[in-house]
Amino acid sequence: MPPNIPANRYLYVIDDDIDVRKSLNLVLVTSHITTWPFASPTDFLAQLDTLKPAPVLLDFRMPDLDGLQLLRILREREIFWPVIMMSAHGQIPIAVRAMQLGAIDFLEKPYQIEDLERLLESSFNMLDEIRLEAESRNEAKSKLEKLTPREREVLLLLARGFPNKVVADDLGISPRTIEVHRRQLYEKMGAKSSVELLATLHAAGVDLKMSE
Amino acid sequence: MISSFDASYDEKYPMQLISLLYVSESALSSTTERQSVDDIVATANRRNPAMNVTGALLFTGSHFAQILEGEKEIVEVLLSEITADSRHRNLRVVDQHPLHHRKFPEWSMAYFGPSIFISRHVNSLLQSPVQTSNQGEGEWLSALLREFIATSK
Repeated sequence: MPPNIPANRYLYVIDDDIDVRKSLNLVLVTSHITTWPFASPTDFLAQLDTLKPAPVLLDFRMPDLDGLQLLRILREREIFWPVIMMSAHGQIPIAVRAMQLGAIDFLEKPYQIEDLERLLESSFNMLDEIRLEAESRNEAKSKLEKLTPREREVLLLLARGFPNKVVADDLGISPRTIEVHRRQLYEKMGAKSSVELLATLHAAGVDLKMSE
Repeated sequence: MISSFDASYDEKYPMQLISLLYVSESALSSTTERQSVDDIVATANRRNPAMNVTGALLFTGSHFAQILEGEKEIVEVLLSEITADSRHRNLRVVDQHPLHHRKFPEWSMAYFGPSIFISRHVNSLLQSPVQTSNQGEGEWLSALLREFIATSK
């Protein structure tokens, strides 16, 4: 194997056509990609919990669930692996729905293998980014979970830039109590500065915009 | 506040309405493109309602495609501005036709994101020889823009 080509690159191929599954396996092996075939979205969902993150090549037209329905289920389960949807040429509504549901691209059949390979390269790069983002999101969320509901309220008000006095008035407690909560939540979240605190909130996906 | 277009305007003030579709290559650098496109959208949202211009913009990272609907003279002025705009290269008008009823209720961003699929279609419009009309691809792109808008709400 030449250097610079990472080993163990997996691709989930979900297509009810066995010839497609077989030929992709043969073609992609030369790009050092191991395909992992599924004959239906149902088969894929049945094993989903045991699968590692990898790009998904998804056919639109299949019996039982179609490609868009599977894509919607993946979004509901907050699985953001790169998905490439395949379908016949010119099916605009399907392409648009797929991209609105977060598919990274749409492949019109028949396609050139070079186009697929290009899409797969960007999928693998994207997967690395997704993995890093998910790690920092989970880490930030677990820090937030250590806080009591009261500490969380205090944190959100402080993060929006309100001074202790205003936060105290807002929550109906004394500024001294706020100060205690503040020290406690800095400690629990392992933050040394308000900048670090804000970065953790951002990584956890907390929206600080005032809803009212 | 984005004011949407008042449909009764066209009936009250009859004029020559046209629809224009162009494609272009993006001259934006990948590090600042999001900000640049945000700027374009902000300017368009500020100016287009006052000029009764509707339509949709699409950006794939490598290409722009836009449909502009409005009074012929106004659309032509906008086109000459965009043609001179350094954020676009190799701009090509793909389709221009008179319009009786607008297809877009307001002006908006249809899609922002990398897409090899859309780029490939836009590229085939950009690469085709100037004399030939690539009507099929133009219609395809118009339909794509309309579908993005129709299903975005």
